[in-house]
Amino acid sequence: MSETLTRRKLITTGLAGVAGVTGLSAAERIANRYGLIPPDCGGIWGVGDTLTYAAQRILMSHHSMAREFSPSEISKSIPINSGAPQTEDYQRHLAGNFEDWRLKVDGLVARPASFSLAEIQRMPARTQITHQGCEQGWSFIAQWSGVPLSYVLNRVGVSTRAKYVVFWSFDPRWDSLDLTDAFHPQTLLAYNMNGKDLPPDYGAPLRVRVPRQLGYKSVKYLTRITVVDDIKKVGDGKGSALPAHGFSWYAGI
Amino acid sequence: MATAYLVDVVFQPVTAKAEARPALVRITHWIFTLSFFGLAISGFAIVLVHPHFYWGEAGNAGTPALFSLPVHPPVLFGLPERTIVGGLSGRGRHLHFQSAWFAMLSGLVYVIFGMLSQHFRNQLVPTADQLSWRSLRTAVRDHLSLRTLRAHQSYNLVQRLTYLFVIFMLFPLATLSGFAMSPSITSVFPSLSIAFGGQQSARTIHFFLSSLLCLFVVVHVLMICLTGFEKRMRSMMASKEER
Repeated sequence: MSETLTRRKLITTGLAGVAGVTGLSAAERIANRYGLIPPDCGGIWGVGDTLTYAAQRILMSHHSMAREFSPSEISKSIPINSGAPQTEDYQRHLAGNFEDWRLKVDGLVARPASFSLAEIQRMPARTQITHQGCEQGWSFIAQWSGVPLSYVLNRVGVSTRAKYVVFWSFDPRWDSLDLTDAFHPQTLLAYNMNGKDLPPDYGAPLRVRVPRQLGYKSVKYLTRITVVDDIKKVGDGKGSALPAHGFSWYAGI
Repeated sequence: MATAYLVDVVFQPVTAKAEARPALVRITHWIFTLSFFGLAISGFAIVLVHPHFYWGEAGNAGTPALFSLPVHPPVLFGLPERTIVGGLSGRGRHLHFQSAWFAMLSGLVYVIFGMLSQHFRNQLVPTADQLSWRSLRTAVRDHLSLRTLRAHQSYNLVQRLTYLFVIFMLFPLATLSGFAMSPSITSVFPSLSIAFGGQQSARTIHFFLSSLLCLFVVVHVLMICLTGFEKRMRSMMASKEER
């Protein structure tokens, strides 16, 4: 009796083990193929980050749109966590009204380019009133105008090998988006907030707006956009400057 | 054969004795317990960073708060908040969402099992003779006096109603109000955010539901201590044979 039970338990455990290992490796292959694994999937928080990213990517596969609000709902106060960079470089551009500033777009693109602010403002614009939540818990509603990132990406011609779009800034902060969010119609390169030129503290001359993610993904003070296939080769390989400070690369939650 | 064994273990019949708990109930209970502590601790850490609550879609330091908690976020143990492992909210969020996944998955397994195996019907749905004012009064009195609880084999009416309320109301609503704060989930289900009265209202409701759940856990643990800690722990840990 005890012998059969032991054998039974052994077989069960063995089968479960084999099924588990096969299942995990199959799941990993599928997840990699459909882009369901975030760059910061290592470490003890990798399980939660990966489950969240994969689940939300599957849930949002029909390109859901963030809620948009009416002008009367725009917040009267919009706090910031950090103001404009105090570097000499940024202050010089600010004093010169960003007339010499250019946005470089390079990496895996057919026609690398650089655009002046005036050129970007002449591109087809989109205006949206959206909610932005801070990871700390507070939030605001504002109106943003800018060119959809997809327009700029299509203009330079993104390679079929591309997987991520990396944003560089006057700030030490850098970040990246997967192509799903980069090509989403509400993802903007914004130069106007609440009907006025973007103020310095809010990201002048140009910032990202990604309304389906938390505020920290919307990089301010843009200087350069790089399209890459392998995010592991950029910076510390975690897709953003923020994982080093304890924050997830993916901030859809 | 292996399948038959698994079915034996997982769906072992539930007897009228409250102590004879199926393996799956015991396993999910402890995974859930760990996850709940993760959620509670990290939830508090996240709230510490901005301990103000609002009503409506948006709210921040420049808008009137509904209420604020009397805690001071910038300093903890004499250290500025941001110097502690890269910030309370970042680490807190990691622990919160990882725990939430474990809580949600083990909770789902438990609920599906409870429905398929008649566990809920036998243990949690009030029996016909419990559903009277008289027995409710008796159950409440027993609870308050702690007199007869020790002798009881199955759950009384107060316990059954509390567990049903926690399992089918508090936890699902806490989860949904959490979802209602997520910018990507609300892009798929905008009605979720609207149903809770906006993202900031959802945050405030999430805080109250979580506080109620913490209160439930405190009372739950208190009752276990008062009615025989060792015996109750054994009944949630060991199988019938091992006891």
